[in-house]
Amino acid sequence: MINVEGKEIGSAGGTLAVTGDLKQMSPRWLIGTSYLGYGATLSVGIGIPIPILNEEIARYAAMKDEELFAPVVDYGEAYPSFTPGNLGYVSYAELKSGKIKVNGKDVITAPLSSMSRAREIASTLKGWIQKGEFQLTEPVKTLPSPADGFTAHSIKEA
Amino acid sequence: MSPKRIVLRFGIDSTVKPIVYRLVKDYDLVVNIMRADVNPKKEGMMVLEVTGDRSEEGLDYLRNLGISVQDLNQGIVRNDEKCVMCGACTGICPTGALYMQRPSMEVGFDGDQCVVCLLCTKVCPMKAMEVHL
Repeated sequence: MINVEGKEIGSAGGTLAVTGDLKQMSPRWLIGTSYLGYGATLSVGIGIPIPILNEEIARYAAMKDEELFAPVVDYGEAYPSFTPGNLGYVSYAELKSGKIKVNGKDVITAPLSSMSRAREIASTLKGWIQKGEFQLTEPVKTLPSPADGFTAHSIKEA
Repeated sequence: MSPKRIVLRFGIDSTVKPIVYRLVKDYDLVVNIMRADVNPKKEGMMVLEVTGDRSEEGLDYLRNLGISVQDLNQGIVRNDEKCVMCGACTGICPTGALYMQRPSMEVGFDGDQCVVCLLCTKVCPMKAMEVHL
């Protein structure tokens, strides 16, 4: 991700496609939810171990909130009308402080995902790994990719 | 004399009575209306902060009129089984009754600050904020 000054900044966003056996899942980590103005969805708690295989992975995995950035997107007007661009970037440290500056104005921030539940997942996963209970398996099935004729449609951003 | 925060709910017939006037004039109470939903010929509700030595007498007067008087703290309750502490409510809560605790990023709820605006009940994705009125 490149900011307005052309400097590379840490991108904190990302979408992950996963599969799993619903019947083995705990309702603590899979909750049917409803967001006002959005609709029905699933809130998923998932923990992913990151193997530190080289220095590059170590550098990215060690990035702090101050180094991770997210674009500020106008969901009121720009996003639904397919207008590309954003209102600038803010760090996760700023977002978690409860207040960010957008076009010189203070704007209140609120999270939508649970930090305390995320910490709980991370510590559970850490416990499994430390006890040697977390084992890698062969992939059950590979996810479709562009090679399978799968095309993704997205909004073009500036 | 510490202020008492109460929720009043009244039926169609009691809406026409000047209850706030009576509380001030007859029972010498300091009344602060925090929220009111009063319409002619409809059921209504009011969130009041009352201060005064004779507040209990005043509340008894309201009860005798058939108005339900409830302690504000019992009005809106967070269901801790459902709440995952995501914090979506903290951006919309107008009084800061629901707030992020930092750095733990857990959601705190101070019932004393709540004015029963019910915005959190709409915003909460888990439907963890419950109304007991």
